[in-house]
Amino acid sequence: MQDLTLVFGAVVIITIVIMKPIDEEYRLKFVSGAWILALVLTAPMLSELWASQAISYVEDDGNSHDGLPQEWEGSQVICFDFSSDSEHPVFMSGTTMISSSGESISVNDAFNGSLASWDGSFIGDEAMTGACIGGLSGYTNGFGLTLDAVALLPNRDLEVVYDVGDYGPFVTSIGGVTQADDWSSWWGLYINGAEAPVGIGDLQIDADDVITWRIEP
Amino acid sequence: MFDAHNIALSTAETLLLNAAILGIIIFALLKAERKLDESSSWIMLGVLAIFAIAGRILFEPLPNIQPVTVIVLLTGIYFGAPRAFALAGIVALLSNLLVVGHGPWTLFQVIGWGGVGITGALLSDWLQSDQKLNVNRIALVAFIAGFAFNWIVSLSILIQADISVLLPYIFNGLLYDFYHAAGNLAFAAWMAVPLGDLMHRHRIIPNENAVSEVVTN
Repeated sequence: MQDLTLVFGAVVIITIVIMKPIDEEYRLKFVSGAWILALVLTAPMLSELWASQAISYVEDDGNSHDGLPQEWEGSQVICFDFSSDSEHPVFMSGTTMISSSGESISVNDAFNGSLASWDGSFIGDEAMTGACIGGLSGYTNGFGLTLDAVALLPNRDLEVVYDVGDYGPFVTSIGGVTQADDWSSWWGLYINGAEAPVGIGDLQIDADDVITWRIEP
Repeated sequence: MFDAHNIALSTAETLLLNAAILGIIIFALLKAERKLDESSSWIMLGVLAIFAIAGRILFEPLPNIQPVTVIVLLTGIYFGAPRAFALAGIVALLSNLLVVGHGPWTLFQVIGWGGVGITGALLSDWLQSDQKLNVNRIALVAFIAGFAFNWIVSLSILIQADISVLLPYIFNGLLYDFYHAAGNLAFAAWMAVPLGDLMHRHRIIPNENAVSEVVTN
């Protein structure tokens, strides 16, 4: 990124310097030549930068796959949203997109998960920090999806700890971030951006659903 | 013992090699052109096709930078839409078959480049002032044509995909489109005048429509 700024900064300066003294007949030749040279030299960097940006993400159209990699359209996705008070040691910046083979595909710095609370007010205006695992399929139950998805990560970075009570499994800790004993923080569950009406053990999921775990409040 | 064909060239080396070959082709053709009959517009079209095909293949190592669009635009200005369209077809088909890859998209490229040729023919008066090419205007049209051509070719994905993917697809390609546009600008700056002079010498005289030989039989 710094190299790019340097190269294009230099070209802009050259363009400005060249503009005045050079005869009008040759101006376009030299300016276009300088720009082409800069573009060709930086082509690998530029295309990498372009590909890593929001470009490959689904457009913001109110769909639960907003901001997720395009190739995950129609598949099941699970996201984990950590807060600044309870930072994850690895996923501290942006939202890391992890494929179904456990590899990090990209990082989306603007992903907000489109989360809304019960009253409909958006809580997802701020960008999430955490990770999403997607491209999954065949799950009908949220708990199975959660456990299998985190098992895909090679370093157990998102290890899930849960209790089993009268109402089924209850998640208490994800990736080392544990809910507070006094309930001042807890792991909230969302499905397609809306707060889940039931616990994870009872959560039925469809082929293109997006589940989000968020450390609350 | 000694394998002279087993040399791996880097992109820069390939480019240098190609530039040298292109230089030889252009030099030889320009020498030959001086001996051409003033009105041999058909031979001129053949020479232009060779320029365009050679240019497209030889610039292949660079991302989407090639002289075809500018050559077709100039052909439209000097030789009119039908011949520019024919040139577009020959160049797209032959260069795709030879190197770049032939498929359904070739048809879209023919239409795209043909459209550029028609634009050149329609704007012919505006793109020239006092019998001379207005290079700045040509550069502007060539720059826009870079994007327009790529978007027309992008329509070819509709053969296999739904219309909803078109916009993200085009958005993904914007950087690549920009390379085409910037390349066109540079080619227009450097080539428009010499190529224009060349075409001007062999341009079609308006009242050339002589009696067809078929009629006499």
